[in-house]
Amino acid sequence: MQALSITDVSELMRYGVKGPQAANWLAKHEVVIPAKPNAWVLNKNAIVMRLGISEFLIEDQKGGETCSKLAADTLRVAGVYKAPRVDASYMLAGSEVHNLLSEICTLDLSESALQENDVIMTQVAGISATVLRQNINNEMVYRLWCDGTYGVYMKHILLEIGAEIDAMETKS
Amino acid sequence: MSLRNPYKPSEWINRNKQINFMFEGEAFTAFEGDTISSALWAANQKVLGRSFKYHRPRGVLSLANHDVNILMTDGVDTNIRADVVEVKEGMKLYAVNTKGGVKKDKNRIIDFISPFLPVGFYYKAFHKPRWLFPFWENVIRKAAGLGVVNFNYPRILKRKLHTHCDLLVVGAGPAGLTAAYTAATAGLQVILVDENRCAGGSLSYDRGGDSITAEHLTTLLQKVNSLPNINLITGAYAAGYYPDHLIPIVGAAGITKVRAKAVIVATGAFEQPPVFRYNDLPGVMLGSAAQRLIYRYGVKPCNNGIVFTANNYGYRVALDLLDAGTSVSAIVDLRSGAQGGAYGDLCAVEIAKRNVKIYAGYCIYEALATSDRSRVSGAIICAYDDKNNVALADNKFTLDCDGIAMSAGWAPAAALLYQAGTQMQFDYSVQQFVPNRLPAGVFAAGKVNGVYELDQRMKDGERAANDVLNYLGKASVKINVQKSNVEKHGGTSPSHAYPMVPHPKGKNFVDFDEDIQIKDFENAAKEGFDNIELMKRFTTVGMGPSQGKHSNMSAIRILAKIRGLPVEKIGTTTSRPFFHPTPMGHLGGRGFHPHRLTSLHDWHAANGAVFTDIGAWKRAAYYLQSGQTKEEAIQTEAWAVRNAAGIIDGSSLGKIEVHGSEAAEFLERFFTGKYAQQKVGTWRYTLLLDEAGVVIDDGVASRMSDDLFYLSIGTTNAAAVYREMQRCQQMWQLDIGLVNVTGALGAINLAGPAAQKILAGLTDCDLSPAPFPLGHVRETLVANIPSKIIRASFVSDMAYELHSPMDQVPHVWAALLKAGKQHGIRAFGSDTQRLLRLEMGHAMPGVDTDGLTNPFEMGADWAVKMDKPYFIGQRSLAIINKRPVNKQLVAFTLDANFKGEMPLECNLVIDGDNINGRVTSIGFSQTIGQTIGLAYVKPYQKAVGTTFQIRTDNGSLVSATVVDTPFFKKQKEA
Amino acid sequence: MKLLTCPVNGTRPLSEFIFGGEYRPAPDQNTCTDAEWAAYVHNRQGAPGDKKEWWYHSPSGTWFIAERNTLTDKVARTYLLADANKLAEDSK
Repeated sequence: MQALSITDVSELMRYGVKGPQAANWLAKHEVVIPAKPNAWVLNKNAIVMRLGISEFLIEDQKGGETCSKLAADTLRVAGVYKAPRVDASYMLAGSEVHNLLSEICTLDLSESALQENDVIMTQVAGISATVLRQNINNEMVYRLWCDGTYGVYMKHILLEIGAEIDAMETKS
Repeated sequence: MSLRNPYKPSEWINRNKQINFMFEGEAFTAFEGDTISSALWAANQKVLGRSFKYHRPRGVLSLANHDVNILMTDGVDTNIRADVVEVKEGMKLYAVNTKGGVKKDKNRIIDFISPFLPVGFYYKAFHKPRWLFPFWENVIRKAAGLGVVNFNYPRILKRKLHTHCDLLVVGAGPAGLTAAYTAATAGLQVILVDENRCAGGSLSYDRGGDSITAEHLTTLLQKVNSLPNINLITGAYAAGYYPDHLIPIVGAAGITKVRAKAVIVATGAFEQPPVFRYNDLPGVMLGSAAQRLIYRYGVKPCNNGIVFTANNYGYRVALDLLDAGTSVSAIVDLRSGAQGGAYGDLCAVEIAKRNVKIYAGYCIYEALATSDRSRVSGAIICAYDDKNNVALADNKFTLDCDGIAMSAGWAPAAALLYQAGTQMQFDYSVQQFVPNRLPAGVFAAGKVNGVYELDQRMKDGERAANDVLNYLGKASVKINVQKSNVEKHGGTSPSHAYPMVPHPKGKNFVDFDEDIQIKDFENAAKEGFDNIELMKRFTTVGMGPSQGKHSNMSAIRILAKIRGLPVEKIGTTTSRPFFHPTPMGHLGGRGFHPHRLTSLHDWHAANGAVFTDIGAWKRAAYYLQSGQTKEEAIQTEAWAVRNAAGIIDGSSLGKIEVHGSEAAEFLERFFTGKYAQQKVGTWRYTLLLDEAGVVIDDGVASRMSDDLFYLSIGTTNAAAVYREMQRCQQMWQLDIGLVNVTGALGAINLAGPAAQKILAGLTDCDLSPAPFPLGHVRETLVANIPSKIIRASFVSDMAYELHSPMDQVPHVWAALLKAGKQHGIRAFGSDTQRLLRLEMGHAMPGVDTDGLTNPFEMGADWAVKMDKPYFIGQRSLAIINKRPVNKQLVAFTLDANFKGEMPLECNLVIDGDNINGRVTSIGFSQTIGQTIGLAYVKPYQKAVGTTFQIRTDNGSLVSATVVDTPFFKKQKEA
Repeated sequence: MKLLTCPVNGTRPLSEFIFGGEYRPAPDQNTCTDAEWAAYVHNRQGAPGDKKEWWYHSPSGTWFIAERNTLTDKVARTYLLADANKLAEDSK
């Protein structure tokens, strides 16, 4: 396993929707949604995050079925508000990932504290961000989203700390 | 002659690795693991530093991180604490605060004139005449300073990490080790931190001549190391206590902020020096310091020592000295009742066997120095009346020695407990402040808790751990270990109530940091500074680098005696972070400076943009072409907008969608205007007030459909306005939904006479003014990108605001530049925009208003619809409306030929002796050919044509004339 | 740093929150006197004690009410205003 890997996946497709009827609307489109707030589930290959009580963020592969299907429905419905998403999105993994996280986030994101399907809206490197933990091919991967206009900043910080950790690793 | 002893298994040094270093230009050797002080002491180098004020020679005092007279510099770092910092190969060290070296410090003269420098001398002597103070300050600072700041210090980013645990145990002595082990056995995640390089606390040095403590240490460490859920961190100190158990741990590499569910403070106690004349001579050290030298570093404190004690601990120290091969010529015990090893202390019995002479009821009246005053050479001893605190100096005698070990008592290392809000009380059985009421989740164990016997300290650690388990609800059964299970201290107190030996000639030091003597306290009290907090500030006791670790308790005792009060009535001074001095580099660490970039950022940078921070955003202020000044760049850009076309990246604008059947109702309540009847495809001005009727922000509300408004909000206030909308919705619970699309959508403002022509080629939308006049909004494709076109007139009457998806904005921008090339299109920045909007006569909230401005003063009466049922601030405006307006924002110009000093924003409007208002915006407009601006004036000055006076920075008055807005009249299309 | 519990997102350090002032229902602006309104807008009860306060959890955009004792700095409970209002409504 690599000590630390930081991958920019902002290119993935995203869809956002909120409002009192958003959950029903997604259900009507046969999208599986998390039963409780601040949790996530997989719907086909898409991550469906419930942000708070009535907002949803879905991240899908490029051209992925879930997001494409939802984006195609442009009809405005009462109580369903499309929230266009331009997020910066990252995958963080490796044996040193907690070393990185402990510098940019005050919360306990260890496996024992962050449950498998938890979504956490918190501050990362001083800005609002969404964090979850995902198992991809038996590797634990932390996912991180922030507003796309902060993307350059976030990437800079991640890489700067990453390089330091890398240097420490190499030395030891 | 070396003082290094043969190998002992307890020691922290590695004798296989020799280290070479320099001190004050002389070569020394050490072993790996030696501190600077221990290495020098081993080489019999005893003058290690000079005191702060009198430049007296000083040696080892505590070896516990408060030997603050022994600060070194290695040329890069300064104020290196030699008593705890490990010596490294090749170090070139010098003592700080000397003039010409530590041995022959020229400033030692100050010691001889010290009788003329009583406490408060500097305060009193140098503040008159005032103009001379800078001179004296310079002299005094140089003489009394510590290390010299290295301005070339390399910037090293120290990491600040966050970690979490169930229990943080501070201090890895017998109590802390036992507590950590007990709690971890019950399953808690434990962090155990100790500032020393190795765990063990007193177990690693306090032997009393036998091996019991060493065996305890081995056992406890084995237990602690066997548990994976204990994270033992050594060489790092818990620097402070912050609410909800957040404790920063400072190590060499940086700070780790530990958030614990519970904290056990097992920080032990600081040994306190007894106070007697010349107790500061090199060679006079605390008993515990002597023990540290012996067992941690294999160094003999001296060859022929005297122990000056006021408790049983001194007898342990004496045994350790004997074990180290030091002869002990006497134990001088301040307590008259200690005759012949009274109090049933086993060590005293042992001492008697070793034929060490015990002088009970005696004191060291004065330590004697060698002829070069560099070290102790003997002691004058006499009987002591400890009831009346009098040295009976008539029958004094002298003993030779080359070292004195002092054991008079302890002060709790209770800084963290105080900071956590612990209520302390004075416990007379141990003559010490101990915790009385602890805050929830904070526990104390060991010496800091007033528990001194070794077995009891371990029991107390176990008790504290069980208390934690109960507190966290983790105990399988409610464990009923009451504090009473730990025996109340019996027998003689570990601390003497008043270990001070008066001497008519003084130099009996209480505070080594600041060279404060007993008489300084007496003088302070005479001057009226007889409250502990006042006394601290007047004498500066406890204000040096050790923060009173070895002096505060003595100061309290002395003050109590002076005032004839019990110690607990004196109280203690406030304890604040940090526990030890913490380097600024650690505190600074890596700074997070978040900033937002628009999707056009790279284009701006490539085209000479000078960026400015607006809110979190980096915006292009103007584009600097080669050879241009800022002013020229702005004028060039403004000229393009007035005569051809310009585009600005407005992507940082706040953009909020208000959806839902009651969207118009929401806007009517939130803003001052009316929106219910607003036609789809138009926009209206929005003005937001607070409840007091003060202007907060303005913007534009575009109605996209019956149940959808699209709001544009100024960059700076966008986040706050959105937040306020969310709060109002919490209260109002209307059928609406708010979607913040600030980061998702970008915006470009295309302005100028050629704007329509340029845009026409990129969209099918009919742009001619008849179907698409000012005040209207269209949704269409621009350069094939779905966009909104808003015909707003912020910078020009001929302008189109294009709102498109953020990632598509560069495409639209490029298309506009291409299409506009033949028309002379030019990008302009936010500084230029401010000039252009000023030409249009638009007042900007936050620039042309302040925290008290109401809309009537700003001239926005037209935007306020008082005939609505409700809007935020309406009721206050109804009250304000009943009173005359007090000030009025007007537009003004300066004379076209004005050549004097240019007035600036915030310069005052003056009428005679009165301040009538201030300039809020001002700038030279090439288009108008005049300097134009906005200013507040008194209502009697508001009529067009009135002249008023502005006072510039240099005091001259400049005439300005009130004019109509806009400055820039309607333009014909090109 | 102090911890605060957002009713939706859980316990977080104070740095994630923005203080929104004391929660004080406004008097009816149509019936109150000018003096009553001015008192509501400008006067604050500074005496320490139990206060209802607005707090905003920034990363999630959640406004909620915290009942805090300003003397001890202890937070007794936190809840969404809408939930409290609904509860009050139901109990009528």
